[in-house]
Amino acid sequence: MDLKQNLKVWNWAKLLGIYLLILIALVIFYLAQDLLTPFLVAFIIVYALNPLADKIESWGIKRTWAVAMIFIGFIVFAGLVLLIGFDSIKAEITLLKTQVPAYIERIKASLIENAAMVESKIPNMKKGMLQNMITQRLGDLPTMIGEKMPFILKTLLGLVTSTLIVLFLTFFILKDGREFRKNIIRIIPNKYFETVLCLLFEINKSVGNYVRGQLIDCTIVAILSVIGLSLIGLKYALIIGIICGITNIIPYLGPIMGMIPAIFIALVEHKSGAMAGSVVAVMMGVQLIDNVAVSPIAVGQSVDLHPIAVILSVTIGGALMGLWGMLFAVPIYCALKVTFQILYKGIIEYGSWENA
Amino acid sequence: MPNIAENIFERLRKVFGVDKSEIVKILEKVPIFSDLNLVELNKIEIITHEREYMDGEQVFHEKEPGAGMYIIRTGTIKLLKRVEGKEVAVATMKQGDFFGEIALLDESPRSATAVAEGKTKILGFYRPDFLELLKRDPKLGSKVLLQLSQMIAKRLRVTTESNLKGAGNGSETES
Repeated sequence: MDLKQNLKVWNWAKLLGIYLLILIALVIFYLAQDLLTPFLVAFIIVYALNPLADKIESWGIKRTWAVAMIFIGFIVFAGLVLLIGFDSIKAEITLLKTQVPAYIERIKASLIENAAMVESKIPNMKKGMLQNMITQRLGDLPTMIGEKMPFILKTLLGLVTSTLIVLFLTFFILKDGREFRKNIIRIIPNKYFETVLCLLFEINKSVGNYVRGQLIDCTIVAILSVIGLSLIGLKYALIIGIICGITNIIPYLGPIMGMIPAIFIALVEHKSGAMAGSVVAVMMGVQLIDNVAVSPIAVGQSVDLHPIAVILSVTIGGALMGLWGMLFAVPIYCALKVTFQILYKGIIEYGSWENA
Repeated sequence: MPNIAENIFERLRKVFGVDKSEIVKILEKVPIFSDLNLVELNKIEIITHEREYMDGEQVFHEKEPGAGMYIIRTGTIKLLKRVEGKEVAVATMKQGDFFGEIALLDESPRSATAVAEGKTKILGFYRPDFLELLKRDPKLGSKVLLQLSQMIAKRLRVTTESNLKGAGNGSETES
């Protein structure tokens, strides 16, 4: 009896330790959000590439070589893309860079024009007050961008280092992920071991399915957007299409976010409402195709998620951690849902938590 | 001369990771892994989990959903079954024995409770890892699967026969 009591205390202590570890991890995660971004990005890439690594491994090739092959393939592919696509993307970026000050000037001019009109309509308003405000606020913008240039360069440098870190992490998580997982779950008390193991497996499966589906979905949306926007003759269609694909990762809100730069270009560069209208039409068409044909196949097999729950989790994620929060809200929601489902099933069907 | 050859051979074995570990030596005696060569046994070793139980600690409980099979490294495991409100000892397992293999196939409830007697070290081989193995290495996975089904068929036959022969012959103990 005494032994059993000891065992119970020991198990509880272990469990408490695990909770404490999770709590500490969460706190560190919250404090060092920027630092952990490469980790999260690496995890996404690992989820995307894991099936491929498994497939190569099933041919009888060792895991390390399988991962190395994927990396070499990836580097060759990236090199080819850069070689072929770099010139057009670079041309678009340099064009945008030279055009940005002109855009600002144009916006300023139209604002001042409108301000004059507003001032003339509102009595008792000091002449030129609004105009002065606008010139003051916007006048510094080009110089501000100039001053920020070293900062932008530094960010670029940071981007290079984080890319290297991400590649490094991806390689090792892809290669040794299974052993990592095994070593981590080693500390789980015997009593909960089977449950936790099955739980982790299910979470891994559903989050993996979601991430992979979403990545495929985004790629297709990006391609469709680039094609559609080029067809209506929007400038910078390539860059804007790619932005649309990236923002599409965030459910429901992403497509709207992606539409903003497209409409901006249509209004400022083309100066036509008709162009903005056709941009909206193209984007809606892309979303329609995506929601009817692509998304159900690519993402549909993962967990069954209600739109309200998805929007809620995305909003909460955004409020807590901004853009990254929005990105990771749905996978986290997925994991929580699977956890509760399995625990609920365990309690209802087997009553395992009471009589164990 | 043979010494050098042996040396080279040993080195090669180390390079290719075909050195027998303690766990592999236990695994190769388990019927469901009897068909596997050393490289394959090493792959199985990677996906097994080493667990340690104290005296009286439960490995799993009857009627709980099962997650996998266990192989005893050291110590003893007692299998208990609840019959009419009493816990009846069904079997006692020693080093190299294994139990719970049906849980590799589906999530059906455990048919007995497993309790450690004395400090016991066991190896866990769980369904999620097995399913992953089937996907990742179908050749190895189906080898194990075939052995597993043959063994379960054999066991079923034995169990049915013993049930027919001596129902109620088991020693009854209360816990």
